[in-house]
Amino acid sequence: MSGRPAALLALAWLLASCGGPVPSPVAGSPSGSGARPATPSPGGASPASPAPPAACRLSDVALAVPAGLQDLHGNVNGVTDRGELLVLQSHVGYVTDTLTVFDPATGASTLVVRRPAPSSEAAATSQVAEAAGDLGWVVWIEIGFALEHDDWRLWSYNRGTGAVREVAKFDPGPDGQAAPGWGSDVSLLGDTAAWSEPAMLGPNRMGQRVYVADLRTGAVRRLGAEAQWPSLVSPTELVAALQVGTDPASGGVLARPASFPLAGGRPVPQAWAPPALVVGEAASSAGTVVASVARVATADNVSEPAQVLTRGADGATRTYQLPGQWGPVAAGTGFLAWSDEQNVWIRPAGQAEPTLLLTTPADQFAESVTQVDIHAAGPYFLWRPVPMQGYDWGDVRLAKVVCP
Amino acid sequence: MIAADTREHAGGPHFNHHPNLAIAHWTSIRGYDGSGAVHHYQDPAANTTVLGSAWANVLPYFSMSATNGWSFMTQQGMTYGIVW
Repeated sequence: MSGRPAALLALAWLLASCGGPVPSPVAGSPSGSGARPATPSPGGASPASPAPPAACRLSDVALAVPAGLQDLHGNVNGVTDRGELLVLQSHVGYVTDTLTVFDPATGASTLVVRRPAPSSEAAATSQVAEAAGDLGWVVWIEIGFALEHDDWRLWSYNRGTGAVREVAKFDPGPDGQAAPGWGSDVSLLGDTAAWSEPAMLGPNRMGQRVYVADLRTGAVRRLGAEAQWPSLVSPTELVAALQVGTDPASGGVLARPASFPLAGGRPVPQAWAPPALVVGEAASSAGTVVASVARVATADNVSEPAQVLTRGADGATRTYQLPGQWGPVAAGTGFLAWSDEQNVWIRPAGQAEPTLLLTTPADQFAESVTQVDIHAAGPYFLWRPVPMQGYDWGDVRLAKVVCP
Repeated sequence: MIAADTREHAGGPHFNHHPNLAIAHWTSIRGYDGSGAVHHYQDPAANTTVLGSAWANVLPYFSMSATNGWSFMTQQGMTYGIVW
């Protein structure tokens, strides 16, 4: 994205974020080039809150990232619940080997880990990825480069002591190999981390499993249910997408959000969300956001109409049809956020309608390519367009969601 | 049928809902439209019922412009393998 559309988007966002509830989201393409609909059409809300409290609002956080962090293919891989950026860098090609925490409020940088650089990209066997952080911890995944073997390892960094520890690793099959696929983002709350990964459960049998780790003791549990995308919503509960059936047309997993007691016990599916072909889910104290598709692509029809279903802390559910294929979803303190491949929306608690934060002009949009990036932790939300080439630090936006 | 080795990297664009990682990945091009302007792919990264865990978060079939497909096949100024 060029500088001018980005600047116009930033202006539009600031205008939209100044006054609390936004009656109509920022509309249209910044370049007027005919972007697709700016707002997903709400498909009905129930039940309506009779007297909604004052809405949360977005407050911009200025970013002045040092050149030293922008170099070496520096890129933001996450944000902490204090608004710090988790920055990855590569000393050889695009093999991410260094993770740094950067605090925009103070300008301070903290090196979390720097792995030895490989002699070449071809010689590399692992990369640093999927970072998350909070007041006490930074965690990240180290993984190889092939989607057929999800050979992940989860590492932790104790921000109090500086100690680095391998917390967990993939569950291999009888041949020692990891299951195919990839895992979720890591959710952090206090000393607890939760994430999901594919695991080999036996010969030629795999499943998506949720892992929960006590970072202080190192104890790790793999939950038994077929589930993905866990979010720690309280010290006693996580919410994840749980398989509740099978789609007769595709054989795919039908899932819905479910509450998992951290003390153990069976997950409890949440009745407000119908079983669906879920493709992403996130939850927080602000509610839950679920992305799903209406059908699975076939050779004759590659279209997968996608929608987002949200349930706020007030109990109201809303459905939004996505104009493009789905993108990542996120939830933080006081907001829910979602995207398709071209647009990013956020709905702070108390707002009736989402605010469009970003749209990729139609003439720059590439079908079947993810061109937005979002991250959430605590009250902070980060988003940026992802160009086909390069990385534009000027397009990285960070906001704090401030609630009355 | 054409098989192409593609590259994606952390922080960059990813096709067909792949994760934000550096990835080396083979896909197959099974057809085209618009005199080759759009290519139709099938992705072995799609979940499979064979292993008993078939979530819908990767499309088994998808389409991408020839320009963007070529971009993924030539990341970092290098051209990777193409087999037909």
